[in-house]
Amino acid sequence: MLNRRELFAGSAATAMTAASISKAMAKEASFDFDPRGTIGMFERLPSLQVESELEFITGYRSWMYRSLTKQASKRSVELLKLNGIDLSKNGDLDQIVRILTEDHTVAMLVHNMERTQEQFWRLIKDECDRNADVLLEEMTEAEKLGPGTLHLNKDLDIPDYACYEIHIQPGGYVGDRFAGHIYFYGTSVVLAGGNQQDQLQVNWVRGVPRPADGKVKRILDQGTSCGQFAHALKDRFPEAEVWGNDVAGPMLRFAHMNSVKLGRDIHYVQELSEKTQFPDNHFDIVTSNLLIHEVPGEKIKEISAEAYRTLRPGGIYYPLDSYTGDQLRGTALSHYRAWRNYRWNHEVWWMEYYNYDLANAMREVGFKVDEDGPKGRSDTTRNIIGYKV
Amino acid sequence: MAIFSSPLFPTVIEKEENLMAKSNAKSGTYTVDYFKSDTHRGVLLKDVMTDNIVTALINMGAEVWAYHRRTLVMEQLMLERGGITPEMIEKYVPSKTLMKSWEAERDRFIGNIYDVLARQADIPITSKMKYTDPKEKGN
Repeated sequence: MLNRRELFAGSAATAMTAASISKAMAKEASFDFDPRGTIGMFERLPSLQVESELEFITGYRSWMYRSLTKQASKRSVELLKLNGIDLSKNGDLDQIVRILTEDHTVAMLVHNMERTQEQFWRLIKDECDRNADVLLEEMTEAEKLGPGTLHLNKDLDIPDYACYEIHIQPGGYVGDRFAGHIYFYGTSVVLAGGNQQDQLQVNWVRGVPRPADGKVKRILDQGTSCGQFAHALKDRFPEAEVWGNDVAGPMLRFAHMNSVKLGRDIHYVQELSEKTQFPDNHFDIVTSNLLIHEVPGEKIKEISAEAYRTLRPGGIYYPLDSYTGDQLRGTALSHYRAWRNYRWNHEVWWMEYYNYDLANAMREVGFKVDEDGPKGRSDTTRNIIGYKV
Repeated sequence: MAIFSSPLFPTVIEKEENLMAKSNAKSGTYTVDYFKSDTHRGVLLKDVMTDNIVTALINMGAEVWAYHRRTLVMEQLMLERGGITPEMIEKYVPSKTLMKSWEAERDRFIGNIYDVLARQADIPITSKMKYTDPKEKGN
C-alpha cells in the first residue's frame, strides 16, 4: 500500500508525481473514492462547492476570533467591572451569564460560534449523505484490508454518556453513519484549515514521554476517534504496536479506512476505555487526546484506573486535554466561557471537567503523578504525567 | 424518567430509564440512538428573527464565496489555456434545458441562504440545559 505522506514530502515536482500515482491507486483500488484528489494526506471533499463554503466558514471564524472576540472580551470586562464583579474569581455564574448575554456584541459572538458550527457540520453531513453509497462501500471494503486491523463489536452496550451531540455534531459520535467523516472535516474547519496534515496531533505527540527504560512495545490511544493521534503515535514510535479504542463504531470505521489509505499499521477496537479487552501489565504507554473532557467525572477515574491496570510497571499514562482544576486560573471570564461551551456548544461534561482534579483522581487509582510535565500548547494542554511504579 | 444530577454542577439532565443502547450493527453502520442537542432551537440574539437574519447573512457569504472561488478557477484556466473571452461570457445565451437547470440551482441557492428566516425557536440564551425528549434514531 503506497504511503501518501512519504509521497508528498518535499518538492512540488514530487507532489505532481505523487498526484498521478495517487490517481493510478484509485483506479486499482476500487474502494478509494477520491474524485478530487488529495493535498498531502488530506483527501479533498467531492465537490468544489462544499469545499469553497467550508473555506468561507474557516475564514469567517478566523475573522470572528480576531475581530469579534476582541470586541466581545473588551465589552465583557467593561460590563463585569460596571456590575462590581471580581474578574479574578470564578464568581456567581448565573449572574455573570445574565449580565454578559444581554450585551449585543457578547451575544453575537455566541451566535456566530454556534451558527457557523451548525453550518459546517450540516455542509459536511449533507455532502456525505449525497455520496452515501460510495462512502459506505469504501469503509466496508477497507474493513477487509490492512495494514492494521479493525475489531467492531455489535453487542457492545453503549452508555448514555456517549450518546450526546457533543459540540453539536449531528448524531454525535455514535448516531451518524458518517460520524468519522463529519468529525474529520469539521475539526479541520475548527482548526482554521491548519490541520490538513495532522499538524496538531504531530505537535502534541512530541510531548508524550517515553518510559524510563526507553522500551515502547505497545501503546493504547484511548478514545481514538478518527485515529489522527494514533497515526502520530505510530510515526513517533514506529517500533510500537499501536492500538486505538473508541466506543463509536462509525468513528472507528472511518479511522481504519483512513489508516489503510495512508499505509498506517494501527489496530482499532470498539470498546469502552473504562473496560477494555486487554490483560494486566500490557501497554508501555496509554494516552488520550481530548477524551476526558467528553466523559462524566466518575468515568475519568474509571478510565484512569483501566489505564493503570493495563500499563506495565514503569509505564506512562498521558491523558492530554484542557487545563482543569488547580491548573486552570479560574476567572469570571473563563467561567463564562466554560458555560458557553457547555450550554450552547453542548460539551455536556465541560462544567464538571472545569472543576475536576485530574491529578488527584490519577493518584487515587495508583499513579505517581508529575504535574509539571513538558509544556504543550499553552493553556490548552494538560502537562500531567502518570507513572505506574 | 431517571434524573441525573451532576454533584459538581447543578444541571438536571433527564434520561430514559433504559441507559444502554445496542449497536445498530444490523444496518452495518454501527450507529445507535442519540440525544439531540437544542442549539438549533436557541434564541441566541435578542429575538429569533434577528438570530435568523444574521445566520442567513453568514450563509450568503458562504454561497457568494463559493461562486467567487469558482470564477477564480475559471479565470485562471482561461489565462493558462486561452479560447474564451469576457465578451463571449457577456453574450452567452443558454439553451432552455440549461436555463432550467440553472434555475434549479438558483432555487437551491436561495433556499440555502434564506430558509433559516422561517426558523422557529423558543429557548432563551440564559436557559439551563435540559434533555426531555426521547432519543432520536441513529441512521
